[in-house]
Amino acid sequence: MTPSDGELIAMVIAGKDQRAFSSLVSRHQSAVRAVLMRLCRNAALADDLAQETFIKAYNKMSAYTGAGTFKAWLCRIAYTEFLMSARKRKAIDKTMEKLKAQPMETHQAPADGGARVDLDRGLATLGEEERTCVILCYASGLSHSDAAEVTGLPLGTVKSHVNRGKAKLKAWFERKEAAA
Amino acid sequence: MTDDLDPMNDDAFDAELSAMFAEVAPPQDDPVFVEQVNKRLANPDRMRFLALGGAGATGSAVAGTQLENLVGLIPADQVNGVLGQALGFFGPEAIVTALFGVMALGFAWVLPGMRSAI
Repeated sequence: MTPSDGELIAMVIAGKDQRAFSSLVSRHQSAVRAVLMRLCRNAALADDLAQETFIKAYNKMSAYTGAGTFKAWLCRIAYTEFLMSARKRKAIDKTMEKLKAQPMETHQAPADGGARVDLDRGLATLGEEERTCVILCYASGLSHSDAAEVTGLPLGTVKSHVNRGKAKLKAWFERKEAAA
Repeated sequence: MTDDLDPMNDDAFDAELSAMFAEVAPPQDDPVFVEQVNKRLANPDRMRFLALGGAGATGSAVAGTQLENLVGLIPADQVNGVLGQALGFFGPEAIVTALFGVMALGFAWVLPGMRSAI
């Protein structure tokens, strides 16, 4: 029988069981990386932040109280990692602007990439909080209340951000199809 | 905004959007990524350990010179008992070396337990 998240977490807390933790990583890596990839728009950076997320989770496992889902807890760490990285990159961008260098690759959509580029371009038209809420709910399948916990926004605000974001995306894809 | 959406149409777009996210998501099973995380767990941040070790070594060097001076100030011929005999026999340098050896053993005993907590 496959052990539940709770059982694996208990094994990690009890004896820093790395095999149990590997099972948790294997189970949740896709959701965490999916969120970070859409937030960062850079696969290498997203994977680096995802690794950092899991290492922090391992070291702070005893802080997980079981109040929400483990996936939501991981996504909250991932979101914090993303915000910290974005702050650093903002400082770097400012320096680069001063030096009149090229903008960072992370902010550019690749010339080609099919669905990924379309989705990222559509997401780029949303407001920051709308984009975050839509990504959390669709990329990792979090519930609205989990997304509220991750972002620290009220549940009603998350719901309206998701609905508004979805409406904007729908309009964007319709316009794109009409233009094609 | 969402009030303008037709619920049936909205559901269809909801499924379409979920499918788009699923299409660009990383694979559900990725042993390479899991292995990378395991490797990083097995080898914690070396720079951090080097910086902490360097700072500790510098502090120990400074403290060591002071301790040697302190031990050197004790008049060996006026101290009785084991310490007096040790001072006379080994000299302050050897005693300080032994003290630091004991400290290093203490750290070697404690640090592996703390590694997971860092």
